[in-house]
Amino acid sequence: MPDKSKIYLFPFLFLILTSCFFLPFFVYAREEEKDIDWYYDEAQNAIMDEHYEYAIKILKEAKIKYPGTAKFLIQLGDLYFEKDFYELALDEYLQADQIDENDFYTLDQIQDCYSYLNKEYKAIEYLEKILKEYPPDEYDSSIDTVDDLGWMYFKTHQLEKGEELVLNVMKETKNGIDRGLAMTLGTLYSGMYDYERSKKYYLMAIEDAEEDMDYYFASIAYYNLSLLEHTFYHFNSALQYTNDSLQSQDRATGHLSKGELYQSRMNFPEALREYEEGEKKDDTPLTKMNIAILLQIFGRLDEALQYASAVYDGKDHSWMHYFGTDIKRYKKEIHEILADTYRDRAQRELSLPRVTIIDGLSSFFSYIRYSFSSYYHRQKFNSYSLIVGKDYLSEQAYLDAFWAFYMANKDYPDTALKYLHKAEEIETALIPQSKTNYLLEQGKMTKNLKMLEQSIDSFDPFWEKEGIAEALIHMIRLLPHKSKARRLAINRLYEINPGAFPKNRIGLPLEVRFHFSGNRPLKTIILHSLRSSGSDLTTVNSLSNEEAGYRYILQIYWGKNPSFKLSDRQKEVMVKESHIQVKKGTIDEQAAQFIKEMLSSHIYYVKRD
Amino acid sequence: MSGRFEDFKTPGTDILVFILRNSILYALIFHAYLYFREDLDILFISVSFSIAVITAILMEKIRLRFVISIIVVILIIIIIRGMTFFLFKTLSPLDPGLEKDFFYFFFDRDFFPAILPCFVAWFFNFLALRKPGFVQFEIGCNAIFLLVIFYTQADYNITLYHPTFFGIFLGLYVLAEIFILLLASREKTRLIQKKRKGENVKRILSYLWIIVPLFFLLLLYFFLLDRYNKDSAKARGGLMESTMFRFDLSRYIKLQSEIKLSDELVLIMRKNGPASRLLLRRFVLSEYQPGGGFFQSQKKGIDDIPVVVPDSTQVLADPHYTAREQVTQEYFLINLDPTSFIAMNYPVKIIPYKNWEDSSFLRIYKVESMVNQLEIYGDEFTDKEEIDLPPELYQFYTYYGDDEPVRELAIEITEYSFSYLDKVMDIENYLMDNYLYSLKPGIAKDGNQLHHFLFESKKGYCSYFAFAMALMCRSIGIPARVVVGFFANPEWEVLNFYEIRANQAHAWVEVYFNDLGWIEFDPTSTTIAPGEDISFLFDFKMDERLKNLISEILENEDTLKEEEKKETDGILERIRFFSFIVIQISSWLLRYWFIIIPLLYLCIMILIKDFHLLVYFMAGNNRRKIKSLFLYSMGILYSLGIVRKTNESLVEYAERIEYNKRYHITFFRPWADFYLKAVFGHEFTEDDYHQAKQAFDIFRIVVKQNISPVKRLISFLNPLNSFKRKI
Repeated sequence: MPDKSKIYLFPFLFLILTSCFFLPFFVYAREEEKDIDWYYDEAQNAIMDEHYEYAIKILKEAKIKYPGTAKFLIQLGDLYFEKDFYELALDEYLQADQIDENDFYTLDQIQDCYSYLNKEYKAIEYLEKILKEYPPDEYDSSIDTVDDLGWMYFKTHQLEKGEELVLNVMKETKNGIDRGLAMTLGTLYSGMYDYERSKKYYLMAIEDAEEDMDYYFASIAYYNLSLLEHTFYHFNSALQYTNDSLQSQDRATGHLSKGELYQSRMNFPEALREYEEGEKKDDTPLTKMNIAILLQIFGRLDEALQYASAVYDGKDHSWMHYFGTDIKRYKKEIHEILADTYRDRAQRELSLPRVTIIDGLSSFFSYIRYSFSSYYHRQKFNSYSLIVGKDYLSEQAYLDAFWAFYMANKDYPDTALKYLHKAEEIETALIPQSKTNYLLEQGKMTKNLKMLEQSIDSFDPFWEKEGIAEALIHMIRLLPHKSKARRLAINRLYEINPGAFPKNRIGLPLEVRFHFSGNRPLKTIILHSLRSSGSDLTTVNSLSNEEAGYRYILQIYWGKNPSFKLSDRQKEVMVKESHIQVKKGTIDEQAAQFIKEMLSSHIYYVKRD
Repeated sequence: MSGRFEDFKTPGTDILVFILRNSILYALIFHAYLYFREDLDILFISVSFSIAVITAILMEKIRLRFVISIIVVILIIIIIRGMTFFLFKTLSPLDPGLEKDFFYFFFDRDFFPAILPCFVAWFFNFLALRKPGFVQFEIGCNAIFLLVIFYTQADYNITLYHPTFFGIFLGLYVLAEIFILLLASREKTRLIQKKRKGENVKRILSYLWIIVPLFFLLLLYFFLLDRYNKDSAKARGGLMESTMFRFDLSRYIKLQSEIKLSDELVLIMRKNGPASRLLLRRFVLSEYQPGGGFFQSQKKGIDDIPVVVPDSTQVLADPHYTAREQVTQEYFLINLDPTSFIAMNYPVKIIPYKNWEDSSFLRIYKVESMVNQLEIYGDEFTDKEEIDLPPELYQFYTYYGDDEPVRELAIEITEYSFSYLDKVMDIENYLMDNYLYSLKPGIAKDGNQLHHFLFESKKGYCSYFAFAMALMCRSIGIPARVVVGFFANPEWEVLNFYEIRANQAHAWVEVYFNDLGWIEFDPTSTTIAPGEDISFLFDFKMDERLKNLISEILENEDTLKEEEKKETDGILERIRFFSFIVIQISSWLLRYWFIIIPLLYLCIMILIKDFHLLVYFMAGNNRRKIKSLFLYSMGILYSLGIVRKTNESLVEYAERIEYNKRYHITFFRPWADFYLKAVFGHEFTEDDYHQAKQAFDIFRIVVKQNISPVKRLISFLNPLNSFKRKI
């Protein structure tokens, strides 16, 4: 007979077993509420509400639950892309591409990510894929792809490929000129140094843009055109197009190119003004780089270092997406700026007089420090020049390649000259006006005085003062010390760029007049300090001094408020004059302080106005 | 390590020391190489290193003089380069092309950087082989190299490789150097002899009291110190740091030449209570360092304001400043770090809430603050010039780094100010009226961004204005501090709710007034610099999203419950307290290292030199006492450089000292006899003990009389020979 107490167990057990059987269905049914649409909408709402972490959580959950659905990957990729997390976005898009191959949007986003990450060749791979799957003659949306690909070809120096691509599409397009394609073509031709065609297509793009009142586009096209003119030494046209660019729309790049033109005229105040105006609008480091270069050329080295360091410390390079440069070329340029600035800074330490022994020791250690920094950046510059040159070579951009190799080998004259000649052969055939620059470079490498003189005579005296100044500096190093020719060269350099003196250890030839009696030791110390800073001096008051090259007269007044006056006897004007505050100390220290302040803050200092 | 090359052949200690030494040298060179790994070839450097070491060994073998060796090394360097170039040019092994053209370039790129480290490797090996004592000097040099190489890696900034591996390397380095130090001494060669294993282990263990603290000291320096980190504020967001989509404000504000703003939604705040100004405080940056700027102080007693939301309700100390009313705020965090504590000045109670299910918010908490209700220029603003802060706090809040140009400007501005409040207002108004708001303040030519702002560009963003005002106030004796947080525009209120975005991150100033406490001042100009588009200052749209968020809050607010205190709170508190103590000690150590290190050294020396004296006082029986005193005496002699020779017996040693007039030490022989009796004698009576003690006293007097105080002091501070085996 069954135990009565156990009979009550059976319904209980039945209930439990039933529950176990049906429970999964309940759970499953509950989870059924969270279907694909639910996840998508929930994520979309979260993104719109800026609940990004929740959105990511939902999408990650959806990815696991629906592994065969690309839309969540794309949605997540888009979220990352919007927030500039390109690496993360790329991961998602690549996964989406594996599921839903050759989706236009996905491929386009992938190439965009690669482009922002400065991986141009990978971007090209996907752009080519898009065009293969979605030929432009069948899909209008592919026109933009052609534009992007053409731009990528330009960035990777595959100019002929780009030309062929864009020309083919332009022929096939039935809607008339696409100004984007026209501009891309113009840019490609500029890379090929084909002035006529480049200009033709730029103007085509500008005309179309102005008709549509797309002034932003026109501004960019004018800027590109101005660069072209500058490359071909048509300075007046370059200035005109730059102004047109600014008139269409006041953008940073317009100020940048205008500043460069002023810089080539060695007009420091105007160049700086333009660059500073551009900097206000510039989200890229390009203007800062130009300011650094300008300040370095004009001897304001501490400021140049501040700007160059600020650029060097920048980590975000996604801005290159919109510019015709890449990481390697950018790094090459910044290392060059830093190498030159540190080198000049080191030289300046040796050229100015030391006030005390500690000052002298400090100068010495600073010299060592700056020299090491210069050496480091020079090595980095050389390495990047080589890498960039190899890239150019692989794409048969020979002129740029040879020039890069020349720059990398400047410490090895034989190799450097070999590549210089190769570059000269190509460029002078395309741009005859470039001959003078090659003359200058060769003169510098071979220390050939005659070549340097010839280059000075050949440079445009208005537009190419930068080249003239550089030639003068190298000439001055080769001319015999205390020769008239050297003094005349120095005087000419002073007119163009006083800031070049301390960093090149050059001193202005001076007729020195003391306007205080007695105190012979002080006079001796002053003369000694001036001589040690490189100046060729005379204290004889003679009419023949001017003929001998002593164009400038330095008058020194000593007393409670020491002061000086620098006058130009040729132009009969006062060039500089100022009082100088001198701290208490020995006569030696006071004299050294006076000379140092006079030279660094007045005579060799280039002001902004 | 012995001085002659022949001894190098002896297996054991010498080879071990040689290998360890060169491993450390190579490791240091390798770490220096890591900075330049993109450009240098490690194989080239490794081969050069090996050549340098072998050259040192060969030069020592042929016993070349030091100066001649250096000349030879320089010649070798020149010849290697010259020969390489010559052979390459004449033999031309490569085909014409880039590789051939760039050969010199690649060779020099590795050659020149390798010269210095390899010269050092040669130099150290040459001297270590020649002079036994050089090894100790080399250890000191290695420590300096280590600091130089890793100088840029301090402040939690380990970038060469993963910090864990760095920690392991550091530990191994310290152990290896200590091992070398021990082994290098001739006496220590016996450590490795098989016959005395037990004693060797005991002796090594007896050095643990040096090894272990050294190890932890190094770990402390690199991992536990929380020093000012200049790079902590990132460009994106200006004052804000971001991790993916979460933000927080930075504790270290750096004045940057350019910043960008983001408009991410960060939180929603609801306010209940009167407040004309809505400045939501996150961090108080009251500590100032010239060149470093303002940052959050870690000192106890300074700004005791919470920065982290507590896990349960917390009531804070209320200083009961006057003219304040309670304002309740609720914070609904969306993209802000959920532990971030924000409140209006000053909070008195924090109530964290349990979030509702599927909440759109990361964290919700309520704060009750006592908010200043005074109108500026009201009667309540007292004109007391004497501030009622304790002197050390007053000094702290008025420290301005002796920035004279800033002080002169402050004096100029406040020249005609009548009262304390007037001065503050005049400085605030001066900045507001004469400076422009800009996200691109520009780069200072001398690196001093604040001076560039004040005296040249005259434009900047809120941090510039706040720094300038705080510093100017401090320079004329007015306690002030910088505060960072968010501002909310009262006109953007919706049902008492305010949305707060990342571009509303803000910096302002708090100035101390007697009885009223810290009062906010906001000197940031609202005039935008020409050419800049900063429209966010004026934009607000009530959109669907904000409506949805507010609706969600209103629907769920009744379900909000206070977080309960958890058991683990106590443990967390203890851990936090411990960490705080460690950080405080570390900061204190860093600040006063120039006192602490010498004091520490002195303490260590006292411990080493007087160790046996301590044992003497604690010894239970007379024999042990005498033994301790004798060892103490021998310690004195060893410090003076009078060391027992190898295989010299104690008696011979004592006689040598006694009869050698050079030492000027007598009465050591009789004292040694008493020691021998105490150790080996069949019986040692009380009389023997007293006589032995007398002998010790006489010995001490003789040393005092015959050795000058200066020499005794130097010998006391001299660590050499301290660890040599005496008996």
